[in-house]
Amino acid sequence: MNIQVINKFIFGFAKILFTTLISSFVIFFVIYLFEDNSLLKGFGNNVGIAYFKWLTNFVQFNWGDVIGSNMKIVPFSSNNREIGVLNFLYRTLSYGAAGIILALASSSYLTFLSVFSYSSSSKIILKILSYISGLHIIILCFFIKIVLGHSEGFHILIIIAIAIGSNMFSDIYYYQLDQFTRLLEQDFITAARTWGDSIWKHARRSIGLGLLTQWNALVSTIFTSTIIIEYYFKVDGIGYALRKYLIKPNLSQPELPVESLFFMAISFMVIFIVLSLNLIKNMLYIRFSISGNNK
Amino acid sequence: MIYKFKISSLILLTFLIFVLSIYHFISPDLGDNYFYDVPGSTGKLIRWAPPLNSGYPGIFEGGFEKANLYLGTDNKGNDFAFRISKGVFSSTMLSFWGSVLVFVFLGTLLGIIIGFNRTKTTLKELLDHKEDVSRIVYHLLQGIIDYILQIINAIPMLLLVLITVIVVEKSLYDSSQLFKLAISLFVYGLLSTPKLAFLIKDKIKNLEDEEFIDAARASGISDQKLVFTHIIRYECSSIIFLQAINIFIQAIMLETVIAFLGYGIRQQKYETIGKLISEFSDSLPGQVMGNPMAIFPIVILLLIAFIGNLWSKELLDVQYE
Repeated sequence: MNIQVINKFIFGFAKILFTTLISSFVIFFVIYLFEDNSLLKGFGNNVGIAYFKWLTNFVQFNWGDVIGSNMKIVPFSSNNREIGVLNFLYRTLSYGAAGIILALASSSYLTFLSVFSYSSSSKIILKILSYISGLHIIILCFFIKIVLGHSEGFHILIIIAIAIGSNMFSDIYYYQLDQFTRLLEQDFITAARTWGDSIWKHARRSIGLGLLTQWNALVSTIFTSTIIIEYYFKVDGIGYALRKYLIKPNLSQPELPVESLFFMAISFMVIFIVLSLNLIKNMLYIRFSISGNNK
Repeated sequence: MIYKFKISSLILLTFLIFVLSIYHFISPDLGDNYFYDVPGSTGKLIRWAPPLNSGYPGIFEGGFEKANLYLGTDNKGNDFAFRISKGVFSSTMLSFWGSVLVFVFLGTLLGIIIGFNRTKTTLKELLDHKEDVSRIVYHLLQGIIDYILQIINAIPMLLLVLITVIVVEKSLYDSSQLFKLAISLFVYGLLSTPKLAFLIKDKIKNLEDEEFIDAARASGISDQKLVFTHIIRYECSSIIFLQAINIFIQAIMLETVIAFLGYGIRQQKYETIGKLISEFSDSLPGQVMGNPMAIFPIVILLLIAFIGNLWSKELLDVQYE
């Protein structure tokens, strides 16, 4: 391991913690300031002190209760009387990962075929997919429900919808088209062609680096899409948790305060995990580019 | 030939949506006279129009009035075309005045602030050359704004919008629902400014070494004119326009999502696309009391999304030519 890489990792992790604290404070501030008789006002009269108290409780895994259904919020739950935030997050992350892998793999493969092998059928498929991709995920939800008749629970179609919807696929496709056509003009690709060597062997490192640079923009989109999908089809995940413990109680009993402790726990973990994914991406980027230079 | 066909069909579709959105100005709202109610609820028996009567264009004679119903009636007996027209109009207006304006102005301004350095780029160089204090403060301000924008960009948008919607619903309980929705969309526009700001920052960084910038500087042009005319107006206008179209559509979609979550408009006198979709989502085809006409708001939403995306793709081609 290079010492620079370790330094970068430590600095990046500190930055993540700092950013997570600031952004959770912003959310805390908004709820504290604008909601009368909020649950967060139980922590103190001053916003800063209240946030500090909430944070100390949070670090000690004392995450509070959900008032409406009288359940305890815990990181991991094994029974029905507790809400495990990370259980929901784990499922959302696995659906999102499946979607993102499907989108990246299919787009890379088809764009590779259409640019390097001049395949016209894959070009047509890409065009059609990118037109569908312009639709928001909510329209795809309606489409799946109306045309295909799927209304509740997990289905393979929802992974495909996550991979395609909300401009996800078309963003990847347009970026890769640009990148691949530039790659085609490179000297080392021309050399590989003249030797009769496999182009994939030479192009894959550049393609991988290109995919990593897109990561930042994709993670946020994929989280939003997955939450909406889970909300609509009642698939276990953060969207379903928000529906069950935050939105439905708030709509049916508006006189009760908002379940802000639950929301703060979920948003803290989501922000932390999104930023950690970005750090992992940065580390991978450094690792790939360093090993590329050594060769 | 294909290009001409594409452009003319796009213009036709846009015109169709425009006509749909101003239809409710042309056909006046006659209030209760225009109400094709089920018998019994108003006391006065008006001729009953069947619920969701499948969009058959025709003339229905009321007790006193006579009117054209181009899309039939909804399940309460109201004119469907009128409601959809009102919904399209108010959705597009909300999206434009609520999200797009703040997005364009604030995004451009922040992009210029974080992107435009006059000559030196790092804090160390500024300190070594013993520059003015104001320059150093400006440099630090740039760093802080850049960092804040990166934080906002990293958080998933839906969480922030969701908490805004819930808190607005709680705290402004006595103001009108249209106003609440406008605030939510305004927050959405505010939170999506980093996207535009980073694009403009990158564009300015790319243009830094271009010859025309050096030439403009050498001819003694002021910084303001250099930025606003040479960079923003001639180089960044296509980026801004594309992003504005994108946010316009996304805000309409967000309004649908908010209505779908249950926080949208519920009052009788206002209409939006999201309200119509969530109202008719129980009578979509494939369900027990399903009717094909209930798809119509979704089709309109789909059409708006398609038109926006096609326009932005055409503009993208123009930009690369």
